[in-house]
Amino acid sequence: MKAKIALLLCTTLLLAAGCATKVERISPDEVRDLSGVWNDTDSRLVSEEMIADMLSRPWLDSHVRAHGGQAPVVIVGDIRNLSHEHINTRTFIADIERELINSGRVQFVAGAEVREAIREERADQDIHASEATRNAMGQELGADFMLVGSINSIIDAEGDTAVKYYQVDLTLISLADNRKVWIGQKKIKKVVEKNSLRW
Amino acid sequence: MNALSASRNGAWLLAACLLLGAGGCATYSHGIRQVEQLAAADRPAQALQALEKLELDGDDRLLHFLNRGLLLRQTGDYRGSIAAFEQAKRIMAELEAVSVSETASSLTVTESWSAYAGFPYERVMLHVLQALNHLALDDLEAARVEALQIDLYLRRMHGETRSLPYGGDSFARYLSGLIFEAGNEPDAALVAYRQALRSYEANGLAVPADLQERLLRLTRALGLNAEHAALRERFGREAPPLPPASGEVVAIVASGMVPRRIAVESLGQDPASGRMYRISLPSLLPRPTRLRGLTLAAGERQSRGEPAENLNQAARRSLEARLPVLTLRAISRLVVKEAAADSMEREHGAAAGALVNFLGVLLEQADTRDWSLLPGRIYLAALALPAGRHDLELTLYDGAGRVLETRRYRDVPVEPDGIHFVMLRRFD
Repeated sequence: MKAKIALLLCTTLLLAAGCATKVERISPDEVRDLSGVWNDTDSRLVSEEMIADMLSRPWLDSHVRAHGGQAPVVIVGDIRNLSHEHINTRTFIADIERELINSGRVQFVAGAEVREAIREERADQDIHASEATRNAMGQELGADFMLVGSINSIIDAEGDTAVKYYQVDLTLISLADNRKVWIGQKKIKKVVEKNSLRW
Repeated sequence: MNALSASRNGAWLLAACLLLGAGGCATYSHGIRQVEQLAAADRPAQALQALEKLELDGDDRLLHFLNRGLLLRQTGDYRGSIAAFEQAKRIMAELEAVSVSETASSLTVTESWSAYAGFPYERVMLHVLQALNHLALDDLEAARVEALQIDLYLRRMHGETRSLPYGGDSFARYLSGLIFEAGNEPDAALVAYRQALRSYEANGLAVPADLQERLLRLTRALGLNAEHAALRERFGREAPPLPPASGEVVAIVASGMVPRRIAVESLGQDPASGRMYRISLPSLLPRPTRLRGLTLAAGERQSRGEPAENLNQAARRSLEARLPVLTLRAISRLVVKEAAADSMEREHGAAAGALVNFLGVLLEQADTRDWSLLPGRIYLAALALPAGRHDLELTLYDGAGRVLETRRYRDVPVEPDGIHFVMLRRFD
């Protein structure tokens, strides 16, 4: 009888432990794939590799030489999600922007939405800010290049196994003459296997 | 405490647990009826409150998110609906794995002690409604993701045919084509329209005239002359070209509710032993819908709506296909419960045997759960209009041609080569 009670208590404790919410803090750099979908690690790795590639190509030196040593001004445009998953392209764009700014090799200007907000603020300053602290209109830095792209995917799935293939294409376009000065491509392939049985 | 009294106490405890378990199913069925009634009375916010009060979790958590997403959509909270539907998708994916314990319980105890995993047509409709949510928020890119997920699901689960064997995916394919066409992807749209055509024909549904026109227009535009000629011969018509610098408005109207799932009981008694036997299987109770037609008009221009999906039929055919398995399981349970009652009677006497027999009968409950707020039918009307802003009038008719409702949409933007979607849901 005592053994049965002990067994019952152990089972209850185990079940209670299983039900409790556990939170563990991990480094943002740590790779944890839970479901096999596009995640923060993919976003970070792709942006790091692609921007490193972009900044190592001849277009950059050509521009610097042609403009008296001045770094090009870049803006990130539309990056379309054409994949099978709801990918938050904003975080991907943020990763790209971070890599570009931190490289120190290009100048970076804010995107269209942010620019609108800044212009509103500047217009507000025109009325309310003192002459000494006011920022004038018409002094914006115009971009030389726009970075656009897409995230595509091909999924081959059968039963419990899926092979996911992501392809990220980025293109840097000269705003002066629509020339494509750099095209980058990064591919990720994942094999995702699901359990076919559960308790 | 002697062995016999311990055994009796255990049996009563078991009986109480089983009764509580059986009570849970009854609560769901009763509760969801109230939700349905409030939704049918066009009171989605109150229906949502009634749903929350049901506190559906555990085995019914999928139904909670499916119904919640649908009702939030009805209240106009599309972002909330998207979040609920994404939860539902995750649960459906988890429940694709076969459960060992649920399979065992369905073969031995009852059908209704398993997590609700949804029917394939419900899975497809989940993506359809999610796509419509994204379209309502003017997010064509996200709606496109749903179109791809519909295709992925159908490819993964029904590789050869890429379509549901019992229907419910025709409109999903049609809508996918519209999404691709709206995004200026004619080749992808054509593939989806071809699959929609196959699905309508395979399910014995009339191919909408608008779909025929789109197939004809796209094959002509893409230079697929042989296919275009074959389609022209098949449909017995040619599609008029869209006027230059024009776009389209597509009205999607969902009406009614899929048939109500009920339990059909067969109860008998062995006169010699006094033992009772019960088999409970699900059946469907059709729910009439008033909507039978619609027109979409902008000034002089008018388009007549057509049936684009029949989920009543998909629900019926899906259940009919599952019935042989359900019947076999019911017979398996009957045999197991009879053996258990015999065993109890031999070991603990006639009363114990009778108790187990009684519990077995009590527990024999058909699984009557389904996503009952889904529409029974979906209609679609498409109207080509010059690019610009238009005032629209959507008129709904009953079977006798009487006007049920007229909705007016002011200042609707129509982009060149774009498609603007207008959506309406009626529960009656």
